[in-house]
Amino acid sequence: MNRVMKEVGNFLPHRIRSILGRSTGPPMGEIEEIRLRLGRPLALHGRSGEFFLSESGMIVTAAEAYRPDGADLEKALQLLSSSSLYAFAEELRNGYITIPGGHRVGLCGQAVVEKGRVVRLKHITGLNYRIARQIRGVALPYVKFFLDYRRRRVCHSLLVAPPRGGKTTFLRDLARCLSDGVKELGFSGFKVAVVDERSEIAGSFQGIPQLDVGERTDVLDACPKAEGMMMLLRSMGPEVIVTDEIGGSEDIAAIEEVIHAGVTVVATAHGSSLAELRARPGLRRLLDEQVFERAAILGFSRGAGTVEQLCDLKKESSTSMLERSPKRSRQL
Amino acid sequence: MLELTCKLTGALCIIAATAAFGETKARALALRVRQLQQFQRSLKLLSAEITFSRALLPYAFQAVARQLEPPLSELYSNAADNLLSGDERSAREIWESAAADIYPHSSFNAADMEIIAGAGVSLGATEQESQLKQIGLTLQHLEVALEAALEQKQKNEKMWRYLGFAGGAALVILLL
Repeated sequence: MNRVMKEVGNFLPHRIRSILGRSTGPPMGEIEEIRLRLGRPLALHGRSGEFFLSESGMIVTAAEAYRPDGADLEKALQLLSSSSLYAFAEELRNGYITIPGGHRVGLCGQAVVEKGRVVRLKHITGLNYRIARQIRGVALPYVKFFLDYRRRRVCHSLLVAPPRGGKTTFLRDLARCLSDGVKELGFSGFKVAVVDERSEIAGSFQGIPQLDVGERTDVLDACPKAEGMMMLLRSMGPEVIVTDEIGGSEDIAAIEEVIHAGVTVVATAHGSSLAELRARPGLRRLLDEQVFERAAILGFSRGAGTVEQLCDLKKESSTSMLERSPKRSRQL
Repeated sequence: MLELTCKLTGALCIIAATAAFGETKARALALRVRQLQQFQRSLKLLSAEITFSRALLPYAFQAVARQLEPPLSELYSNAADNLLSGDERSAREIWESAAADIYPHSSFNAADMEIIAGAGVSLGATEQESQLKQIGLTLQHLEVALEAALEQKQKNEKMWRYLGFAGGAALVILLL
């Protein structure tokens, strides 16, 4: 079993771990999700799609697959919480637990609601182990595009992609490059701060980033974006603030505050094009006012995370990336 | 003269033995009360660890163990060690096993051990409120057991001491 699967395996019940160890399916290195649902087929999702495993590890139909029972789910929760579910109130409210390695385990069950708000989950009957895989270098060829050489700064930038389009993977690597610097591009790194509301960018475990987001990066984990941006602005003196999936009015207001304070914002948004984003009032305002200077549109044309278009929003020009590759730049 | 000396020595040995037996029984009653009080205190310490420091269970156990005497310190420290070693058993099973291990070295009776084992039900498997309620329930059961143990100690501690001495004396008289 490879390193990543060993990391996740430590938090799987013994029976499931054994099944995965015997699996005759696609390599564990390709697995993206492991789903445990009480009384329903053990399902794995990878690049080649979904498949089910029998108790002996063979790929079978859903009807023949191993079905996790209550003891499996209980054992899984015990491992995930170090036998201390009482210490995971926030995680039970948010519906996920992050484990070492940055992997996120989604929880599903019965919501306990008080005064109209979910306070925790109980009777947890579904677990979704999402395997975090970092792809270093995916943003490196495009870093130059996000730099403002004249003013020696990073441009306010927006990454746009449809769901599962690779924007978080790209954002993570972009944050890493901006933080560590790129010698060939002539800059040594900026002070980067990340608001990681859903622990997806840095995959923090007990406050420690498990994925590489750069040597000069501060991570505020599991914090609402708007509040997080203000906190980082006040306390960490960043040059760049990075956050994922903006859209709400609070996010927009916080971004405007950050920009007025002279700090660069690098963010992502769901969508397939800038035109689609303009249908959302808050984002439309930011785009119309040219708050964002650069945009990258990601898609699936060559697989998830393909940079399809780079847009210079100040010059109102865009370049299709499907036929050309970027060139080196001068010193910052 | 020699015969008298031997008889006297024998009588003293018998009385010493029965008095020691009586003293052991009396001390066991007192020790049972003390250990029940210690266990009660340990649960309150555990509640504090869960409520205020939100320590993970193995570390909460270690923190509690450091403030106890044997055998109860061993109950918590052994449970902590097994939880940290990647033991495949549930937290409840580990707790029950650790409790069974200290039983022979303690002054608890079978009913006390049921209460102690019961403290392991849903240990670490529920959110904070339910966890504290479960500990509270165990404390209530302990209170009842402690009350009965104190009553037993008050009634029977002196009795055993006298019985030990008097029994030895009676035996000596019978033999003489």
